[in-house]
Amino acid sequence: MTRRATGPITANGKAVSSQNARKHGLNAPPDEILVSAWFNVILNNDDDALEEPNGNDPLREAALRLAIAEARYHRAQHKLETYHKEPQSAQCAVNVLYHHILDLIDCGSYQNALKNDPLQNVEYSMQILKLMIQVAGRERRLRMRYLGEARAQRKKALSAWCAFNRGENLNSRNELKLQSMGE
Amino acid sequence: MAHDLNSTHKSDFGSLAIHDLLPERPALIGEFSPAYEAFLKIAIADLAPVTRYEYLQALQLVDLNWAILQAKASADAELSAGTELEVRAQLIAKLKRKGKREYDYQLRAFEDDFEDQVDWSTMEEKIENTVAGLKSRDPVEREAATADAIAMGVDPRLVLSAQLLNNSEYRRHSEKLPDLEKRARLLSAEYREVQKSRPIDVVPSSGD
Repeated sequence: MTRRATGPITANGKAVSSQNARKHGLNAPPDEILVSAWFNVILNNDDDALEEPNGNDPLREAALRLAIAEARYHRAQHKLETYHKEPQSAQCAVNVLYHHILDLIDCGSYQNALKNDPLQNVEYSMQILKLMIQVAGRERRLRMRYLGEARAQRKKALSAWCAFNRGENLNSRNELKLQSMGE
Repeated sequence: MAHDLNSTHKSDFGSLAIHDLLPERPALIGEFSPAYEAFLKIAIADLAPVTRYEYLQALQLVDLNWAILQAKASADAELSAGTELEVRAQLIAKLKRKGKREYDYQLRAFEDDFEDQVDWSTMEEKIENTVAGLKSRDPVEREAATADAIAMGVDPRLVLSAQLLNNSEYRRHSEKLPDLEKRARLLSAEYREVQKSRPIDVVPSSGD
């Protein structure tokens, strides 16, 4: 019998774990302006009939859920596609370090770095580079995970929106718990 | 390059324009921009979105398909350039080796003034003609050039085969394709789903 992970147990572990999602902001609520714009696009509201996002009726509830999912999905997709350009990312550090090592080797400047063992500096840099590549891989996989989750949420929200428009499957366990039309 | 919207879908959501909802499409150096605009126009006309939401989905679909075309074109360009380079290098190696052998033989045999009898310029011309023939649009010319190259000991088919496996630049582009194509397929299915579930506007009949 396999046992599921139980998460952090110690106070220190919990403190670390609680800050995980703050590193990249992928779990943060999407921008309200974007959600509002998506909400109005989904409802196909004219410019003179724009409304604030709300869940006042089943139609708007489904549209709001889809709007949030769309905003999250596009943010996650964008974060993954632009990851290598993010100045604080490990991938960016990998690129800088890699070119630095190439410069050292090409220009022979490593010979001045340490007189006793001229290649030691390069070897040390290579070790750091290997570690950084691992960190960059982890960061990239994390973005892919969030993208996968955002894609799944969007798919569910879209199915619910389409089902609502077709007037079917409103009470499915996996779909929105829509308010009854009479409420 | 931002998305160019047609006039029927221009809309302003407070401080946001409709195309701000999708991440901006960066300008690509070397891309033939009018080609993208033409592709966008034709594809949108074909997809025929009716609502704003459909329009945004159609835009994403167009972008994905454009990215697929770009990746395929880039992969083909890398493959073609790599194969040409390799075929040329192998032909040069083969012919020059032959010329060098002849040169060495003459050098060993000379008695008075040595004069290089090897016709290097004809050799280079032959290489250029063969490579040009391999790139020709005329299939007969291409076939003749392939036969020439094989006769010289270089098989362009094997070079192409090796390039398909080992050209890292080609693989870098072609490896992107499955993911892009999967996304395009999924989005296309979703687009059809949204179109099918479009609310029907009921027009009251006159009752005649």
